[in-house]
This record gives sequence, structure tokens and C-alpha cells, in this order.
Amino acid sequence: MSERRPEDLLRELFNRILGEGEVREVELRDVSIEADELELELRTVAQALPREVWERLVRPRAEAVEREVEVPEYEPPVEEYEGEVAEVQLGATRSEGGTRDRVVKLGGERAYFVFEAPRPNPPVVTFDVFDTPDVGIPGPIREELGDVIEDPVDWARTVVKRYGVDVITLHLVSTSPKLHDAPVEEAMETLEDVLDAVKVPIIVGGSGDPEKDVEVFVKAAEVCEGERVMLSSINEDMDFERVVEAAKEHGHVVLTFAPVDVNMMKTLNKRVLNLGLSKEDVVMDPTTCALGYGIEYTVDVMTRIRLAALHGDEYLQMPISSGSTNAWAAREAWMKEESWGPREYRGPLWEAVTATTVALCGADLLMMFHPWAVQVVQEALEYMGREREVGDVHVTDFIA
Amino acid sequence: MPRADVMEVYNLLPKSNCGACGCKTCMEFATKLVNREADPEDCPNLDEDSLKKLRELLAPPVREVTICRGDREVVVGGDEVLFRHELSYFNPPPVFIAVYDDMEEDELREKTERAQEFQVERVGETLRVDGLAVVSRTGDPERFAAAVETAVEHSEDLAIALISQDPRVLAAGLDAFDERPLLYPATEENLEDLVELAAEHECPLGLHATEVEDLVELSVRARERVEDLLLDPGTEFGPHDVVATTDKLAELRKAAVEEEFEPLGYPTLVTTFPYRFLEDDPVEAARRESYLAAACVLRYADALIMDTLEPWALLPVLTQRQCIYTDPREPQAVDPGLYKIGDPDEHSPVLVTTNFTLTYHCVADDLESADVDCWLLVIDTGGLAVDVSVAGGQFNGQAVKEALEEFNVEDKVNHRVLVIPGKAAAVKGDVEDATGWKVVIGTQDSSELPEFLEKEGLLRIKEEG
Repeated sequence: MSERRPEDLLRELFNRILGEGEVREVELRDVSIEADELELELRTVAQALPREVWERLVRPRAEAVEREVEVPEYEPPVEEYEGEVAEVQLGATRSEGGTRDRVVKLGGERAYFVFEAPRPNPPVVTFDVFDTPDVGIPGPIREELGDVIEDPVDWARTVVKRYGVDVITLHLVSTSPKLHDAPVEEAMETLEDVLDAVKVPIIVGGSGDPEKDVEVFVKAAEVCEGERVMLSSINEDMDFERVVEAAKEHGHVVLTFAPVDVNMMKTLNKRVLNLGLSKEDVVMDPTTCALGYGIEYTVDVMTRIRLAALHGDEYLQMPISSGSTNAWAAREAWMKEESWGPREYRGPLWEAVTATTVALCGADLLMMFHPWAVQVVQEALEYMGREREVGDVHVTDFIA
Repeated sequence: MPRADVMEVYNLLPKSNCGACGCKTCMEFATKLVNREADPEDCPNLDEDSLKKLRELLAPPVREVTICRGDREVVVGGDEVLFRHELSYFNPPPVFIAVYDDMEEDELREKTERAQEFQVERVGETLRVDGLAVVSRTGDPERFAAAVETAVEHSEDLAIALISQDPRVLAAGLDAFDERPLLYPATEENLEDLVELAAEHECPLGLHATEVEDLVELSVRARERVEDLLLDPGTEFGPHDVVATTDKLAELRKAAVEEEFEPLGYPTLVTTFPYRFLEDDPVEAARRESYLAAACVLRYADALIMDTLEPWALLPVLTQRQCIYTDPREPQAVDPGLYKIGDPDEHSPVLVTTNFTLTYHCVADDLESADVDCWLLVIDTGGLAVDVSVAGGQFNGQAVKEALEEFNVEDKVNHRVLVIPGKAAAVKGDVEDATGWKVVIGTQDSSELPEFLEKEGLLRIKEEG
């Protein structure tokens, strides 16, 4: 525009702003061609100015720059996936032939990240209950739960009432030949008592003995007729066909388990589906390694499984379950070690971080143990089922 | 996946297969370059132009940014995949610990020193925090400069971030420390001034907006003048913190990596320190920080600003970082060898295990914590765990025999008894045949080992005969 020197221009501009108030936009549009040079001059003067005057100068200048820089169009990178995860229901209400007050649904994802599509069913926490306290329950959990761990019915009832847990996993570990070798009938009595005592969906856990578990699950399937429990879990080391048959006959869900390996998981699922269960009747557990004890392998395997499902691999399109309780295998969770700080804080955090990490990688069902961890994780992960929330507290509120 | 193409890289190389870079062929070198196992500078025969093109071609979609210089230097960003199994993540996120300019000088000094000295040993590594973030709470440039001075004076190798919304406060901070500290937060309100300051002092600049779209705009404007940016899409606080924060980070990382949307191709910054002010109970504040930060380490945080120095709260975060940033292409292995546990002698038992890092450390820790004196013979299974290496054939009689010979075990003990893992029971006969030693099958889990050794009378093994 003009031949005037920047200093003169600045002086004129400055006078107008101070003298005439709201004319700033007109002036700046005029000078924007020489903005580089002008900006430097402005600053030198501006820094010596009182704050409010300075801000009046800065803001319009920012607008001037904005006009010069072209902001490319931004679209969130939302991917369309061809596959989706099956939705699996646990529990059955009276109208469905069971006696549960409510049911839970797992899975149903159509995307990997929440910004691509919120999860139709946010991850569900199931509280671990053992039918005997003689399984090495970590100190911090004993302290937190108290006497209820002596009685599985009391334990289940208490955690449902106190912590609003959606699902209970009853581990019938007393049946283990290495522990009490309790007869299957005895375990079934406990199972029926728990079914009576709480009205949330139930997961029936075995003891890990490949032979005894088959007997336990086959009988449990019969005892729980109509309740749509999940039998947890079957693997390649056992005669799982009998369990699958029983689940089919009595309308239950089975949990398939494989040791941190995508292909082994897939092979087992394939065999189970070929036996006549549908994806809606199967949940899979590809192993949860605790934080610090191989969690990165679990992160990779779960991520690969979920991506494969979304890309159309039907043998991996089941919801994922995680034994997040495994966090307590980490010595950082339970060991008394002064330099690490109180284990009362450490343990629950370890479990919460382990569970949340796997949930972010795709896990739909989290088997958990410590009340604090359960509550924190339930509260936090519910948001995976919603549109993203941006709150009104920001870091800038704390910085002068 | 828009990673560099090997052929494209190869075409920029001399194709002379001279071997000067340590690779047999230029093709091998090209592959290593793409996998980030070599640097273009390793080739002495590249002209300026090819080197430049190569660097551009290999530049990761998330820019690598250096904060500070010299001993305080940390490098952040540099990632090129969305998921670690696709390659690896690079540059573990540094943890900056916040100190505040409204602290008494003693308090500030004390926290600075604790940050400098903080360390936890884990799986053979020392976990530390990496930086100090001096936060202006008063808005007073002089107090801020004094705080920066104290923080710098009482730390040695911690990176420094200067944090204020007011450019005059930051300028005062730069008077006290001008070795490329991170400046933050540049927002809609102060962007031009902070860009100016960062450009003038050649500092990396952290941008803050609470929505990704707004961050795009800030980035577009800032990158006109500043190359080294960090992006903070607004850490969320409250019950939705973990999901909303990690989701924003995931969105911008996916845009950067998979769509190569350049304005978002910078490392990210996560701030959990505000929980100190949001929670009345310091334990609850630390818990929330820890939980949020650990989730963000999984999901694309490239730098973190935290308040807490409680080891119980930092341990999950630093452990998560240690795990997520291991290279999935490398077996996690320790050196094979004969390790002493406690104070073993010629009567102490010899236990065999694999060189998978986790296996080794679990076994060693279990034995040490039970005060067992023994020899731990770590054989080379290529970094595989016991069950996997038994199935895969790396754990066999021959491997044990070679290890016995290589590490002169015969000279260390006057018995000939080996304890192998319970999960290696299948190779008992093979090991006995190959070594001529008597083999005892140990326990399924190493935590049961000390009790087993005692029960079986293996803690002191007398000479045979």
C-alpha cells in the first residue's frame, strides 16, 4: 500500500487505537501485506505497554495472521471396518427362562477407538469370588473384604450390594484335586446358593484341573439350566467337546482360553464354533499378563485379535475376557517393600492399571478382585460407551 | 501403512554394495533404514542431496523433538506406527515433575532434589523421572525466574519445562535458563507471543487446546515459525479422564500416522499435575494421576507432566512405560551364564532356567527373596520362556550340556545334580543323557522353588557316593 515507514505507520495505528477505540480491524487489514516487518516493530513497543493496551494490540494482530495462514480441512480419521464383534449376553431374566434381575451384554464393537464409534457395550467388571479362602488371597484384599471371604455366598452378596457389581465369577477352586478335591456335588450346592443369593449374571469358574473341570462344567451347565451362565474356561488341554455340548444343550456361554497367541486362540474358537456354538455363545480369553510381567504381549495379542475381528476374521469376532486379577501375581502389587510405598495403595492401582490397559486394547469383560480397583475401573470405562466428553476443567485453570 | 518403501530408499543409495555401513548389500542397508536399525549417516558414500532426500523419506510421521541440551536433553516423539506390534514405539515418554513458583524456596528445592534422586530398580533397569516442569502459579515474572533458578541449581540432568500462559513470565524464566527448555502452554489467547518467544530462543513449544480441531489450527499457525512443537489436546479431569484423554490422543495419532495429516504430526503432551489441586486428599490425587498417566503411556503420550513423587504412584506409570516401549522385534533376553544367587559354594544346588528376561528375573527374585544360596545356570533359548522353548526345541540336553561346559559348572560344585523347571519336565531324559548329570524336576512356578528345595533336601548337596 503506502510508502510510509513502519514506525510512522505504527505511531498512527497506535494513536487510533488509544484515541478512537474500535477501529483496529480496519487498520490492520490495510497493513497486512507488510505484516512481517510490522509485527516486529509492534512487539518492541508493545512489550513496554500496560497490559490492557498490549492485549488490545495483540488480539487484532492474531486475527491478521489467521487470515494469512490457510488451515487445511480436518476430518477425524474414522475408519469404516468391514467386520464387527458379536454381542454376547450373560444371564437370563425370568421372561427369558432364568431368574436374574438383569443381564449384561458384552462386545458388539464396530470400531477400535471410541472416537470412531463408542462401544455399544462398555467393558463389564465381574468380581471374583472363591469357594474357599485357601487359595492365597493377597493380603490387601483380605484386609479390604474382611470375613466375607470365608463364605462365598456372603462374599458374593456383599460385593454386589456394596459395590454395585454387574457380574459375579464363582471360582470353584475347592474341586481341585491338588487343593480340597471337593466332590462336584458339593460345588454345585455352593453354586446354587450363590445363584439364589445374588440376582446378577454368574460366571462359573473351574479350578484349572483339566479333568475335574470338565465334570464341574458339565454338571454346572445342568444345574444352571436357563440362567445363561458362562463356563470359565475351556482350553486345548481338556476334553472341551463335552463342555461345549453341555453349554449348547442348556443354553450357556463358554469362555475359550489360549496362552498369549493369536493363532492358538483362533484355532480353539474355530473348533468350538465347528461344534455348533455360535459367536454369540463364546467369549475368549487370550491371557492377561500383569503389568510388568508381560503386559506388552497381552497388549499386542488383544490388539491384533480385535483388529482381525474388525477386518472380518469370524473366528476372532467374540468379546474378549481378561483375568485382570492376574495383576496380583506381580510382586509390585502385594509385596511389602518399603521403598515402593504402602502396598495398600500399590496393589489396587496395579490391578486397575492392568484392567484398564487391556480394556483400551479391546477387552470387554474384566475379572477383578479389589473393591477400589473395581469401582475406579467401572466408573472410568463406562465412558467407552458414550460420545467423547470434554469437561470444563482444563490445565490452563492451574497455570498463571 | 505409510511407512517408507524399501525400494524407494534403495534407489537413493549408491548401490555399490561396498559394505562400509556394515551391511553386505545396499539392499540390506535399505531394509535396516526402513526398520530404523541403521542411520543414513552410516553410509559414507552418500552425496548431500541423496542424504537430504533420504532423511526426508525416512522422517517419521510424528516428528522427533529434542527438549533441552547437553545432560538435560530428552528426545520425544518419532513414532511411525499406531500399534507397537507393527514395528515398535520409540523414545519412551519422559515424566516431568511439576514444581510451583508459589512454593517456599526450601520446599521447591526439596522437591527438586527428590525428583533428581528418584529411582526404582526393576528387571535390571533403573526407572527414573526425567524432567522438572516449573509452573507459574503467581504470574509474577520475578518469582518465576527465581523458581527456575532454584530448580536448575538443585538438579543435574533433568530436562526443564517452563510453564506459564504469560509470555512475560516465560521470558523471565528464559533469562534464568535458556538451554532449549520446553515452553508451554501456547493457546488461542497467547499463541503469537509464545511462537515469537519459542522462535527467538529456539525452544520447543507445547500447544494446548481442548478439542482436536482447535489444536489443528494452533499447529498450522505455530508451525509457520516453530519446527519443534508438542501437542496437548487437553488432558481431561474427572471420571471420564482416562477414556476421553486417551481417545483424543488416539485420534490425533491416527490422523498423523495413518493419514499423514502434518499439522498433527508432533509428539503429544499429557498433564496430570492438576489433580494435586483438584483433590483434597493427596493420596487420592496421586492415585488419579497414576491411573490416568499409566493409561496415557499406553495410548500415545509422548511426554507427561505429573505432580506426584510417591513411588507407589509412579511405579505403575514407569513400569507401563518400560513394558510398552520394549522393542517387540527383539527377544527380551539376558546374557546366558552361571549366576550367583546369594553366596553359593560347592554344595549349593544348580538350577537351570532360560534367558527370557522375565523368566530370569522372576526366578532370581524368588530365590533371592527367600535367601536361597544357589547357582542359576541361564541357558540360551533365544530369549524364549521355558514352556515355549521346550516346545520349540531350544531347551534341550545339548543346550544344557554346552552351558555346563562354557560356564565351567563342574569346577564350581562337587555334586552332579541339576534342577530343571517343572515346565521342562519333558526334556529330563534328554538332559540326563546329554550331560550325565542327575536331573531333578523342579516346580511349575519359581515362587514354589525355595520350599521345594528345602523339602527335597537340595539346599546342601553332598558329594555323590
